[in-house]
Amino acid sequence: METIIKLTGINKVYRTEEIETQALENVNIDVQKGEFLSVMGPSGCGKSTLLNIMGLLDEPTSGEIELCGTKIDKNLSDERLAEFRNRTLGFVFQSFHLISSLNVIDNVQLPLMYRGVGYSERIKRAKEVIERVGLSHRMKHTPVQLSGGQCQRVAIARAIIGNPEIILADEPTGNLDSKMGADILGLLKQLNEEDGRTIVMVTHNEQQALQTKRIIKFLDGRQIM
Amino acid sequence: MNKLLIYVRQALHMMKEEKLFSGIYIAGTALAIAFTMVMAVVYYAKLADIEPEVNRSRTVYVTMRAYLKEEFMYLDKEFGGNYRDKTFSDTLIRKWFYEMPCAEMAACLTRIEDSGARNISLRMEDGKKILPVAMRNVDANFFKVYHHKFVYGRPFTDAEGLLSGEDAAPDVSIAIISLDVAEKLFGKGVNPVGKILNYYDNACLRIVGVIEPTSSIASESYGQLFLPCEYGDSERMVVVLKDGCTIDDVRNFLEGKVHRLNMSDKEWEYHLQVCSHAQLMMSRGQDLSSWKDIFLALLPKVFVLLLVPALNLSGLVAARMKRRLPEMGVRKAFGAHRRELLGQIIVENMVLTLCGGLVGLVITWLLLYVFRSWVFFAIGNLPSQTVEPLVQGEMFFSPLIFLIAFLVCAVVNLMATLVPAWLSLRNPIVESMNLKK
Repeated sequence: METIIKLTGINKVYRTEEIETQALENVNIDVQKGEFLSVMGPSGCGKSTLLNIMGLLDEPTSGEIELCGTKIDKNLSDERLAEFRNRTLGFVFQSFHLISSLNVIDNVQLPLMYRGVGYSERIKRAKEVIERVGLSHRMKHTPVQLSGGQCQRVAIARAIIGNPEIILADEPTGNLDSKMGADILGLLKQLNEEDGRTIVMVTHNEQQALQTKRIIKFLDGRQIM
Repeated sequence: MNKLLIYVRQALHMMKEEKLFSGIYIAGTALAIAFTMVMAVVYYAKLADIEPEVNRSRTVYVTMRAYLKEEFMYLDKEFGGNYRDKTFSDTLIRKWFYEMPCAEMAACLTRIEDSGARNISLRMEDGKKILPVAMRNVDANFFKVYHHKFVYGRPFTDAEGLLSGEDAAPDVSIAIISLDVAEKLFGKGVNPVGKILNYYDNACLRIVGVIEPTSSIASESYGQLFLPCEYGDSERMVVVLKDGCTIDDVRNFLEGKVHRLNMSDKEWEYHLQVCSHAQLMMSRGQDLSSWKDIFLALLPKVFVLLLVPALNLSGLVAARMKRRLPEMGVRKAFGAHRRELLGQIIVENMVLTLCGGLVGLVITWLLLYVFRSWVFFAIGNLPSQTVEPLVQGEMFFSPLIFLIAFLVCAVVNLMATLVPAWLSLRNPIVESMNLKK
């Protein structure tokens, strides 16, 4: 099996003038290509911090990150990091993080726009993924006109449009009722099983975690399982 | 449709959503553009080669002052003292100015403000209609230096335009009037050439020509009644330089003449004041021989005018950027880098600036139309005792002036936008996105 995410000796310390908080302590994780991994643990245990570091949205205080065989250099420029995120990673957030002033199709095509893909190709691919998440009839709607479940579907479409190797989902069902949550999880499972995408999902929900291929647990910034 | 159009569409959507921000931004930009444009238009109207003062860029004005020789030796030479403004005699005009090698042409004229324009009233021969007018004494060359358009009749001939001592004050003098005066006195569509008018002392004037009305903003050529220069009238000379000649050529030529005059006159010490059109309009002390000099002279005023709105806009943009940090975080997460996002913010703000520019253009026209007297007399420092200024043609809308004013404001807005935007885009992605939570 090919290791697609490799975290070695990751530490994350948040410092203020008065206090120092160790969010992650010596974390070592290997994620294999095609895996569907759940990260579980109580609030404040460092799950989201771990996901942000995996997704190059945040920097570790120390430790090494390797994604898709590429070691992430701390001195990588803003442009190079942005390009790497764009090509390799897709994100799904608990609160969707859709841009309220853009409609569904413009939200979904965002990663391709930053990749420099032409307009007609962007629209073609956006329509395909929107259709795949079952929202063809909502393409021109803005996020405020959609339900929570629909927003998360749009977010998933946005995450997969660029065909990234890795999808990082931070409590993707946290803001949804159980039926919609099950729906979204089903969609993620489909992406993992049918497309072979590697998915790392942070969740509180044990039932959902049990449906993934592997579970790791965190407590106070340390991996306990 | 490319990235740019998506940004524009988003900017328009946000304009609808953030009405207060957009309204203040557009209003601030519009006022800044309007004030800059009004200022630019005022100085353009004062300084550019526009009808009828089409030779401003190569026009030199000469006036003469005389000091009593006894007092002059004790005077502060820089600040002057007890002096008299002297007029040029017809002999001096002919020998000094008409024959000046560096002059393409030269004309004599009186200044309107010194003539007490409002006190001069024209009467029709039957005495029925009385009309106060702005009067000026000029020679025949005046109508060559300044391109007044003749509706009826003709300009003065060389013989009529500059009367020597013995020709002065004939029984019936000749006159050129403006069309607005002609219409008020004789009615519309009537050719008044050959008709007789009275003015003070019951002197008679025979009309030989009628010109199209011009704006008093073109203050050196403006007039409603033009009479020939009589002996003692010629208080200012205007010289149009030949190509390749400079104001210094005029100074050098006249210096020798004045020196000889001073040698021969025991009582008076004569001094000439030579200045370009720009120096006459702005400040004699400033060296304003090129548009660059004028631009640099106006720059502090424009800077102050734009600084306050720029600071306000900067504050507004900073507040808006703070609100939009989560969105910027999301964009970064999906592959946007800082320069890309900065480009987006610039496009969005340029959409607002463009809207501000259009509103500013309308405000400019309103100011130039409704408050034209105040605008030109307060900002332009033009004589206020003459009639209300006519804002016409190029003065009202010059695409170049609008473009310059718009570009200046766009650059100021850009700076006001760039600084807070760049600072906020340096925020870490996670911090930006968590603001929403």
